[in-house]
Amino acid sequence: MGPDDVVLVTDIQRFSINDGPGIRTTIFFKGCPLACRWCQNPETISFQNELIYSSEECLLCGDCVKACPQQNIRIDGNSIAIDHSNCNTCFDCARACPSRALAPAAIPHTCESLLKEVLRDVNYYGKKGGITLSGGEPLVHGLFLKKFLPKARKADLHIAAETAGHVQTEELVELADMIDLFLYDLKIMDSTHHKILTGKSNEIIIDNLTTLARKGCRIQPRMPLIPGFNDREKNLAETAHFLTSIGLTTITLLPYNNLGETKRAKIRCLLIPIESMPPTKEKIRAASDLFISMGLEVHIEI
Amino acid sequence: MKTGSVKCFECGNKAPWATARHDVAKTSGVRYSLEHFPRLQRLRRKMLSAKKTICIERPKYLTEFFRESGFDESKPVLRQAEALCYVLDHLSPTLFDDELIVGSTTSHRLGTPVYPEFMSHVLWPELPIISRRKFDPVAISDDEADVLANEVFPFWKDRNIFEYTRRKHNTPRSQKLSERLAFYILTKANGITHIIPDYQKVVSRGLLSLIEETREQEEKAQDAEAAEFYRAARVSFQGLIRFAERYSFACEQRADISQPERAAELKELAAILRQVPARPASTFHEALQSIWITQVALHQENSNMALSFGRFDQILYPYYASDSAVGIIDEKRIAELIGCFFIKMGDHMPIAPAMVHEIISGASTNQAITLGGMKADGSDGTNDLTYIMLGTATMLAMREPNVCARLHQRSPEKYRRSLLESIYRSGAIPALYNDEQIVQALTEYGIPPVDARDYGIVGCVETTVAGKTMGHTGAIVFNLAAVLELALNDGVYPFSKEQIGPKTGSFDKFASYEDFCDAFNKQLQYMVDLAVDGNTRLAEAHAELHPTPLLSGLIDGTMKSGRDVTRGGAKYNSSGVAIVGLADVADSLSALNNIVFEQETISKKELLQALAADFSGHKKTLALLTRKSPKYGTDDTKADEVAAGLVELVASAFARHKNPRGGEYHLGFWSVTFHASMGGMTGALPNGKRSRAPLASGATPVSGAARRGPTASFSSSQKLPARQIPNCIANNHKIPRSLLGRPGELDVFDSLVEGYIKGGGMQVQFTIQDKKDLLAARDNPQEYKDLLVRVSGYTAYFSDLNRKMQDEIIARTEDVI
Repeated sequence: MGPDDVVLVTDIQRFSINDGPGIRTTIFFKGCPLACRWCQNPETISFQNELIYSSEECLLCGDCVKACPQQNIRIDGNSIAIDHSNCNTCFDCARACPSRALAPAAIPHTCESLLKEVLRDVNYYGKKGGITLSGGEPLVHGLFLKKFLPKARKADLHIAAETAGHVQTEELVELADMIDLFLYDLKIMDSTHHKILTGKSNEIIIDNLTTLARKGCRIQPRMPLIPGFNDREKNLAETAHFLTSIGLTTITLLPYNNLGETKRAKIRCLLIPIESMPPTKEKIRAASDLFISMGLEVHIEI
Repeated sequence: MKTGSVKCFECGNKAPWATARHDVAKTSGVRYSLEHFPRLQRLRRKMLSAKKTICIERPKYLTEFFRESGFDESKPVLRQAEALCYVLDHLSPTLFDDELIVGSTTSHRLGTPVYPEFMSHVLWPELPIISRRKFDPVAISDDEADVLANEVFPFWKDRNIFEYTRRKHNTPRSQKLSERLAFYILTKANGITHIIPDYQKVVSRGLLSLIEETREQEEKAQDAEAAEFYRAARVSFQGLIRFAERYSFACEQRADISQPERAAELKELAAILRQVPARPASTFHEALQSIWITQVALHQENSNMALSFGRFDQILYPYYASDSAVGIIDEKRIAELIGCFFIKMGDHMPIAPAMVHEIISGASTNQAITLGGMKADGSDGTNDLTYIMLGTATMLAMREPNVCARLHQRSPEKYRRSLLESIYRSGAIPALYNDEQIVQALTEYGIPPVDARDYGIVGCVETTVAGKTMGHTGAIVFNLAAVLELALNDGVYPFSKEQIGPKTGSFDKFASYEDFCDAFNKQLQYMVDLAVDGNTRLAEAHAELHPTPLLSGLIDGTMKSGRDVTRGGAKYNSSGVAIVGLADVADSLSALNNIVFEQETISKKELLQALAADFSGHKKTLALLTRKSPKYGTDDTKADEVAAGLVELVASAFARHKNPRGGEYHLGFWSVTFHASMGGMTGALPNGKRSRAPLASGATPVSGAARRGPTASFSSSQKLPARQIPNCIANNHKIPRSLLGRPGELDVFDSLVEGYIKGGGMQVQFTIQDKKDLLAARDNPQEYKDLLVRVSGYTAYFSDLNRKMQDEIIARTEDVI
């Protein structure tokens, strides 16, 4: 089995009702070219598997200390200390942990095993539901998806993809024929600013969205609303202008929440945390009004 | 209730059919709500604010009869018919303003009848304080309490089913163990009314025709018992006709010309009651009245527990259709009549001693009506009445009736949507039943498909062929977790250290999981044998002490067999079992198999010590059991196989027995509130259940275990072998309202339910609430008096539940937050 036959998946979430229409199963692929400072799923950024530690579940029993072949773990007060730099991700510690305080961030899946999982809820998808590829950036796993998606289509599944768009254009175009709906994230229109906050500039992202729109793909543009980072009127107006210029008519706003903070504490996370609070109702309303004034239909996910 | 005070749902404001846009609303162009029915508003308000009061008429007259006439042991069936007639002939007809359906179960608006021949004697010691007791006070005057204490109860002291059985068999072990309430509970001492009478026959043929049939049958009776039965049935039918005539007369008398409108209504009622139930019903109003007066009479004969109505929309449709065709009635009037009927259904309550209230919290009389589903020929039976009845019940949002909706794969989408709309608005009703699975289960137990398709719901969730089954569907309530405890402790009940079960070996000596399973099976069979033994003895006592000729006359098969239903006269003769603790025991077995025997991460000794200490000081063991063992409810193949295997094992333990009427034991997995009470008498379990904590309800996953969302939980439930479960399951599913969309946009909910039915789920009942609503209701009961919750097989007012039950409902898995 080659490396492209297996992907790392951090979660397969059944009964997802906020990731596209109807009841869906969302697959969270591991690995993302961006590293947004506000990332809600920081465990999906690295392409490598890694250890997750939930201190609130930890019994401080020390079984992991005994299990680690590298002697990377020690008890440090009310928690354990892990030397991630030396971790070979054998996960012996996770197997030994009685309370699942230690766990691998992802488990490897093949096309077959993934298909089996998403077909579990096939009776519930109805006319609208289906599967959603998410992550991480699902569309960077092009070679895997070119094997997986035809099987999923054959099973008559509606396929949505949540993407940040930072992928090779040829690959994206090829995959687009097998994807029924793109949930396409736009963050910041200013490229320099984009690079500072996500690690990458945004030209590819802008180009790719333009390409998909021209191609006539079904696209639901989305935007995280992060007070102090991308909610200035200039950015909102530029976003709206861009969307209308390529013929898109809606935007879904995802107000920032700080759930990502808890998750960041569980891994070795190199992100520099942002200091932001969830937007107030007034701020959401202001952003929404601005988009509406520029001719877009606005949805707000709460 | 003020409709404006409804906080959690809007059913007080809008009738669901208004938004469901079904034919009736369309044709009339009118959208109804409770405001359109001032009569129903008044009746409803009065019923909700009525004070529960003990009625002593029935026990007084019954005792009087037996004191005067003696207790003729040579003709038990006829004796009971005459006793019933004496009661019916003496009860005071009780009428209330506004009623369009008359006939009162007791002499009070909300009354509790008393059954001294069953378990009422347990109230004896509480009589002086019952009207002042803290929880569930029931009013009674001092004089009436004296009558019960001095005249009634002493007479029945040794003549009730329970005492009679105890004396006859010199306190059998099976009965003694039942009294402990920890292992199994035998309910027959409290009556056999988990049954659906043949109301189809009452309305379509009328009692005079049935009386004629008893005459013909008596002439060619094969033996003296048959001759006696036919005569007894006839006597009781005649008693019921006289009862209706007395009501007719009372209506006539009450008609007061100074209130011309009400006088006209009463005169019409008087005319109706001269027709029915003696003659076939010729109008919708007559059909409803015929059924209700019969139900009232049946409650004078048998205890008011779970006597259910069967397929109400099917039985009444012909009268709706013909009335509509000739234009003498419109759908608003139909809804008003149905509303009057539904409100009347709640005019009586069971009465229980304070101790039992802890076990059956908030219990109602559980009179179920069944709607929709396939007809006997397999075609879809949904009709206009299905929608109107559903709409009326949702609009009224009262405890009764227990609305049960049947679904199959060809049910109209419009119907399914209406059901979901009702559930969404009411937060609880109706419960949903899957025809394909249930018909298959009944067929598996020897019932031909043509009858099986006519199943109706009895009481909480139980499924029997309406009008043809003597199925006492709640005969045995069985604690599976107690069996597990005995198997873990060599037959010793840990709380009292008594040797209850056989010695099956000490746990730390079992070499393999299979060896342990053998011990479990031995304990299971032992306990099943005892429960069956106890049930058999009580059944025999019923046949001797309390044959039930009126009910028997209304169950198919008896006219042919010439036998009372307590003596095997019905066409189908099953006995119902409710198994409690499925999920906890299944998860415990999974944990033992995986963690203790296979991986050996917990030693047997450590497990026993942890259980004995209720996990105190055994955090790691508790973590391993709860976090690292597969759980039923997560669509885990291994865990679900254990649960399915457990069902098969219990089914085979009961399949070794027949009841004294020659029928089979029908297994069900539902628990009313017994999972809390029996859990309270069960120690810590290997799935991590803490000592005395509640067990999971019915066939529902353990609270907090279903962490993969509702579809995964449903998938686990779908893997239970439904064909072994003819007495049905209760799958209680609490789901936050916020997940399901808005009224009229219930796509997610629809897909969820459609998927459950399509994938072979048997039954599901939703509680749609947000946690904050329940917490608020717990803290401000006055403001939430009308907040309905589905407890486990029935709907109760949240404020009627005890604190423990309220907390449990609050804690029940919110699948996704």
